[in-house]
Amino acid sequence: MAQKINISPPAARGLIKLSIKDELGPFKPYNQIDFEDLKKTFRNSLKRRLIKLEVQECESILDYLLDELTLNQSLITIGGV
Amino acid sequence: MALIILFWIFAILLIIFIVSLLVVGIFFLIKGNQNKMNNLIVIGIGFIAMVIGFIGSFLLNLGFAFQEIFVFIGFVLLVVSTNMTFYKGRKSKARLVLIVTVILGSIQLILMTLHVYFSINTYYLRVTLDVPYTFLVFNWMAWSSYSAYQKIKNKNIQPWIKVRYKLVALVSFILSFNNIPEYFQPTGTQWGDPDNIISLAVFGTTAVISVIFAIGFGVAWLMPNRLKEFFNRNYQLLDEKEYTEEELMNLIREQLANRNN
Repeated sequence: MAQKINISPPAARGLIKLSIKDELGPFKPYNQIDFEDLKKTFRNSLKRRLIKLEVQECESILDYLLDELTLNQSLITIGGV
Repeated sequence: MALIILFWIFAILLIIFIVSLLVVGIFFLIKGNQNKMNNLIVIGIGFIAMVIGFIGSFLLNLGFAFQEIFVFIGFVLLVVSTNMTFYKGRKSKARLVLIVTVILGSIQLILMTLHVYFSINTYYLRVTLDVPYTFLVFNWMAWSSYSAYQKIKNKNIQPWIKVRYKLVALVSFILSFNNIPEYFQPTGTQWGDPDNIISLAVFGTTAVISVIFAIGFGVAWLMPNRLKEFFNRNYQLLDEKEYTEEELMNLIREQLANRNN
C-alpha cells in the first residue's frame, strides 16, 4: 500500500493499525486477528480512511490489498504462532 | 542378534514419531484455542486422532482396522486444515483434493473390511491405493507451503517464518512417500519381523521417514526463541515510533501532498 499511494511504510502500517482498531475495537490482540477480520477491516474502515484522505485510486488499492491478503493468508498462521 | 537390535532401534524411532505427533497435536490445540485459530484446532485433532489409531493398533492390539479409521480421520482433518490455512476464498483445487482424499480413505476402509471380515486378500490393491492417498495428503501440504513460500521469499518478512514454510514443505514432501516401502513387505510375514530382513527393512524405512517428519515438523512449529533469533541474526527488527492518531493522519496528509507536488 505504501508504494501504491506513495507514503512511507511506517505510515501505511500505522494506517492499517488504526483501521483495525476502528473495525475490531482497541482490545482485540493482534495474534487473534484472522483472515475474515482483516478482509472486513480493509473493506470497511480502511476504505473510509482512504476516502477521508482523498486517495483517488482507493478502489484499486483495496482490490490489490484484498488480493495480497488472500494470496498470503497463510502468514497469519505460519507467522502468528 | 544384530537384526533384533535394529528392530528395537526402528521401534524406538516409531515411538519418537508417535510421541512427537502427540506433542505437536496438543501444541496446536492449545495455540488454536489461545489465538482463536480454528485451522490449528483442526490439525491438532487430526494429529491426536492418528496417535490414538497407532496406540490402539500397536500397544492395545485393537487391530489394523482400528488404526485405519483414525488415520482416515487424521488425514481428512489435515487436508481440511491445509485448505483453511492456505486457500480461503481462493480459486484452487482445495475442494477437489479434499473429495479425492475422502474417496481414497473410504476405499481403504472398505478394503480393510473385506480383508478383516471376509478374509479376502486385498493387500496389494490396498497398498497400491494407499500410496496416492498418503502422497496426496502430505504433498498437498508440502505444495501449499512451498508455493506460499515462493510468494513471500523476497518480501521483508522475518527469516524464521520463511524457515518454517520451508521445513513444513520439505518434511511433508518426504513423508508423502512413506507408503512406498509397503510394496516390498513379504506376504504372510509380520511387519518388522526381525527374522525377515526385507520386512525389517520396510519397517526401518517407514520408521526413519516418519521420524524425519516428526522432528522436522516439531522443530518448525515448536521453534525455540533462540533458534528464531539465530535465523533472524541478520534481520533488522522494526522499531517504529508510536504516533497518536492525529499525528499519523497529519503525517500521511503531508506525504500525500508532497506526492502531488
